[in-house]
Amino acid sequence: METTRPDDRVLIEQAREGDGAAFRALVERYSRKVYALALDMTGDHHEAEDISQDVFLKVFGALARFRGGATVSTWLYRLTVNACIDRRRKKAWRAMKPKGTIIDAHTRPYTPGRNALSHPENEVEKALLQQHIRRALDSLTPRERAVFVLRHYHALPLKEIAACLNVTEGTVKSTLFSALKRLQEKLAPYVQGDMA
Amino acid sequence: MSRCRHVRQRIAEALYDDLSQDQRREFDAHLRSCPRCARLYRQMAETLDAMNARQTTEPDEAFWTGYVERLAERFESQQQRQAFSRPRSFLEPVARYRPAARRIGAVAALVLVGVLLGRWIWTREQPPGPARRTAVPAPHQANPAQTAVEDRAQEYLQRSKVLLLALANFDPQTDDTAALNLPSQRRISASLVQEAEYLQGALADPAQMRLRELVGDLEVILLQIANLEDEHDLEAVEMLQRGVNKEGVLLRIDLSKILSKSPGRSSPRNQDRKIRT
Repeated sequence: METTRPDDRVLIEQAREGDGAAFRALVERYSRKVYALALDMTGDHHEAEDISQDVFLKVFGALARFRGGATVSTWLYRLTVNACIDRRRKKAWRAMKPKGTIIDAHTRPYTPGRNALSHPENEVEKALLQQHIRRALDSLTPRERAVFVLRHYHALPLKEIAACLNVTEGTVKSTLFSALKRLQEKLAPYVQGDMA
Repeated sequence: MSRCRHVRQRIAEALYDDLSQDQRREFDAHLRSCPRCARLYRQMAETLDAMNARQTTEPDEAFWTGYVERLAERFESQQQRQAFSRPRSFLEPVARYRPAARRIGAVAALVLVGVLLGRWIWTREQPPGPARRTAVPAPHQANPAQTAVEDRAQEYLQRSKVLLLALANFDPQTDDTAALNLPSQRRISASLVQEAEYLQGALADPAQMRLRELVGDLEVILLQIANLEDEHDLEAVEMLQRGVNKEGVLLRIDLSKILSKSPGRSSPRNQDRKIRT
């Protein structure tokens, strides 16, 4: 997400005064980015749309409270990450049945030849790789996933991620490292470095 | 070894080119002399390559063309659902109604508090006697089964409260995680989650909606405690603490207890007490 353009705040101000076109412009400007982040966080298109709309409804309700301490994009990212985490929590308790062990054992990953990533020879293999990437992302904690997707897929600087998540830059660094470590463990069969 | 630890802490920054020139030089020099760190760095770099292979499908233009309209529809339906809020168009002024809505909300809250307090004080101060019986309305005849479920729900709330208090009072900056005894907390939470599942099914009466919601909200928090993977995951503990504060769960538990004991409440047990006085 690009840095806040001066007119973001103007749009917020105008929307606050009741200018519907300004709010619409704000939605049109950021909807794809908010949606993309929600998709990266959830991996589901329907949820991503739902969450992105939740975010804009919240923004609409909170226009009067926006003081401009953060950039508009940071604010939107923060709302999106929080909405995704909230949704995941709510989904978690519906999905999980605490009988004996609370968390279901992870499905044992399929382990094809070690060079599968480097030489995906057919469509099935590519599809499997996508499946394992998805699983690797799903294995991250919500906080790790937020930090990773914001840095890796949205190219946000560490400082801005820290502002989005309301944590220190040091926490972002250590969370990013633990996310990478977990991804590396999950994808170990696919990366050549593991063969060394 | 501590050098390795220091360098490993910087691997993520190195991968994303977030190191200064001096830091990068120092980092590269270490990798040249330490095969283990070099291997870890290589593995992580290749992991990122793998993550770059991720494919996502983008929605087509038709999706985006209708996006704002769908959002507007949702906004309208949400507005219609909300009590006390005047339906307004999605793109209507925001600020115009906010002070009025706040005033209405504040007045409604004051009236509600006044009514509750009034009922409580009035029912306490009424002199005993036959007239008392006719003065007490019985708006809702709860059956004994409902009362038993409510009692069970109150017990669940109190047990949860003890658990949450331990969590809320834990200070990650000064306390040792051992003091929190997370393994035990997890075990208790798991059993409470099961209880919550039962209660949510049993609290079926519309009058028990608030209690059911509170049980449900608590269940979410308890499940998170039950699923804490790492005893030293202070970040998760802090997140839980924020969740408890944000939802005002402890306050809601206390309120629920007060209401369950309120003489104005219509459980048969309370009604019996009123008649006897």
